[in-house]
Amino acid sequence: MSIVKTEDGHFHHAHHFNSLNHQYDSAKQGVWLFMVTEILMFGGLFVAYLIYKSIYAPIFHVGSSYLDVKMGSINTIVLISSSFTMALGIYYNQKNKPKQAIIALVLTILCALTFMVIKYFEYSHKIHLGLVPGKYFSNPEFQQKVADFVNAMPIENITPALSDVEHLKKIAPLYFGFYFVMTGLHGFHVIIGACLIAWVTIKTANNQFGAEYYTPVEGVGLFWHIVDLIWIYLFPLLYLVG
Amino acid sequence: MELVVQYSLYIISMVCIFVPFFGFGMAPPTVITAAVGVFAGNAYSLIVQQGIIKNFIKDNKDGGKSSPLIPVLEEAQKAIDAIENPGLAMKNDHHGEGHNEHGEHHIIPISVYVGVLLILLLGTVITVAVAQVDFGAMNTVIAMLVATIKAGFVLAFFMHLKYDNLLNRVIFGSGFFFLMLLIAFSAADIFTRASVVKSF
Repeated sequence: MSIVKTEDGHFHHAHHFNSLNHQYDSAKQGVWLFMVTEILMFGGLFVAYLIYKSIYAPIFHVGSSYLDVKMGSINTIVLISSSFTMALGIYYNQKNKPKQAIIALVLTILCALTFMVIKYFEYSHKIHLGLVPGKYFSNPEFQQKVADFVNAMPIENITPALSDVEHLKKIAPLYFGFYFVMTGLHGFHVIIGACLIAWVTIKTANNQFGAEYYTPVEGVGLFWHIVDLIWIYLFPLLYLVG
Repeated sequence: MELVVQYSLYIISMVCIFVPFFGFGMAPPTVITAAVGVFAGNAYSLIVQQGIIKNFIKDNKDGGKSSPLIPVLEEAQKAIDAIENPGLAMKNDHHGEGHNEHGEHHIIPISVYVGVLLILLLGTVITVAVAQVDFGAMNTVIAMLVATIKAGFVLAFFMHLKYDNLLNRVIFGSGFFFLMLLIAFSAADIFTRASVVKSF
């Protein structure tokens, strides 16, 4: 997208657009379409989670008790605050205040890094306990807890899918499959988002944005808010309502 | 009743199933009503948001032989302007076409952002606090309800969707619509085929 900043500090839109506004709207529409694909990608995972949770609810109940609610809550607050600072980054660009915009954007990157550091501690704890998906799973205590939980359930609540306790023990790592894939894909988005924010921060520092033209900041902001939005749903689903 | 509460999320989404079911032959009037609604919405967006009449007048007025339709359309456009935003009609008369083409984006004041941040933090506290108390199946419902309210605030204010043009809202809404279809048909499938754990 070719935006040219002239000597007198104004921006010129690309020749195939009617105006800067037209170019801004077109670019933003593309970002929104991309956001829809993001929602649908995570939506597929959420639907898979809901299906397996309704069939194998005890595994998810025991599994969520292995997650650290405190760390999850801190991460939620960190991510919400980063969404706020990202919105401020856009706001100060709209107001032609690059200095404040840079502060807000750098704070956003710091929040993203904090999120990933906390995630690292959570992941390494899980991996240390052997709570990993698939054939690398090595935590018989978790499998036994699932079996005990199902055995303690009243007999009228036992569905055919839960009747074979040995089978349940075998598929118990399923929960951590969901946990690692969903939070892992989300964490991947956080890393990409942090890199993109670093990119717009550098562009802001180079004085390439202003009230007339801040489309990349807005687009990256939308991406960052979607990352926040997905975590808003992921956190209660994985950590709280197992 | 237990089932209703435990899986209320699914049940809400199952409402979506009725759309295609009615559409596939049970109630053709539903399809026609929906189609008319879409056409009306499309016409509204074309006329009010994209100003198709305004553009038509602009393109055809300068030519030598002016169409007899022009004065009528001008009256119609004036009426629309008067209804939609009374201030703009006067402004356009004064400054002419293309004045507010330069970066006139709605800027949300910081106080609104701070308010949204506080609401989101409060929502997080409520979600965590509620999860400590055992309401049985209601826990899922409350958590999802609070998450949806939080998501709504993020979308409306942080993502500027409240002040965005109609098309972006429709694009995003369509994403959620297809997600609802996916959830609805999956829920219909497992409720009729697989055995679902009702409570433990």
